[in-house]
Amino acid sequence: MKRERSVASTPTRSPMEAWQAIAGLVESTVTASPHITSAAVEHALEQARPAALALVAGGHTDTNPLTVVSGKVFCEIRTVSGDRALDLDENLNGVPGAAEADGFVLHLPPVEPHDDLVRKACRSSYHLSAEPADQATTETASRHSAEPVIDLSALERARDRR
Amino acid sequence: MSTVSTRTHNATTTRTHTATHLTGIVMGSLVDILSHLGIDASNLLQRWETDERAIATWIEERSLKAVILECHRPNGTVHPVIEFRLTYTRDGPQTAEFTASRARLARYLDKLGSVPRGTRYALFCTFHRQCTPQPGWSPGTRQSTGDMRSTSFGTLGRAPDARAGMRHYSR
Repeated sequence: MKRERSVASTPTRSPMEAWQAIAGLVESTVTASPHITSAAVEHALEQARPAALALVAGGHTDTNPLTVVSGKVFCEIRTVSGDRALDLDENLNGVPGAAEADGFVLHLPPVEPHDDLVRKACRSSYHLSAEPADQATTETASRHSAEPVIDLSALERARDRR
Repeated sequence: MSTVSTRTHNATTTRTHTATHLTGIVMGSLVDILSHLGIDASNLLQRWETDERAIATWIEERSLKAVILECHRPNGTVHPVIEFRLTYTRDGPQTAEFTASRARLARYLDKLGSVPRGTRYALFCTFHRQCTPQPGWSPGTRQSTGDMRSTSFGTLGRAPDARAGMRHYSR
């Protein structure tokens, strides 16, 4: 299920403060899983910081979200600038659904003029991607994670043929 | 007495918001321009917090006149020069808006020519009056633009008590 979160940027927060709020939201979401360490998340976020800061400061993330994918979590994070930022009702609590995740990816939008900057940042970490986040893949992976690994019906058919 | 305190608090809150808003617009425009021109912006992004704090402080105290981006070419010439000018007004009404003209900047970028590989940038600030010293910033001398062609691109961002405009200088 796709979720959306909005983070107030200027004039409520500076671009740096807005990025720090986004990073905190990502970290609290994915570290719900015991398989994902804070160190891994912090490293990925540090690699993302320059590109993400450029996107936030230019207002690009008002319309082009960052997307965090982890376990059952598919969450688009947008910034809100201008007057709307002053009265924004935020929810910066971790997004539920990553408790059983074994990994995470933060998708950064490769929008002009920062496409090169974004792609360079994404090459520095397996947890960053400049590709569009695929919700269908996330939902399929979530469904498959609930299915048994062994196809019991196939085993029974094989047993019956002997 | 309480009414005066409330007005003072609101004026302070608006000036802080104005500083945050216009600093974000100026710095966001700076990094957009550098990325568009293919000029390495890694130093700006690395020291972002320092510069953000400095510019916001100067806008809030109303000392900042302009933030100037100079493009230094490998052959020694300097152009374009882009100037972000701050204009301050009396504290505006509480209904005044915080706006940003991202579309205007996008149109400017469409018209902005390229620069040679190896072009580097320099950043300057000019002031109306004595400013509060900020870490990471020291006295310097900006390029003269007297013999350059100047074009105004209008207002990039507005706040209740100030606005930021952009002017482009080229040869």
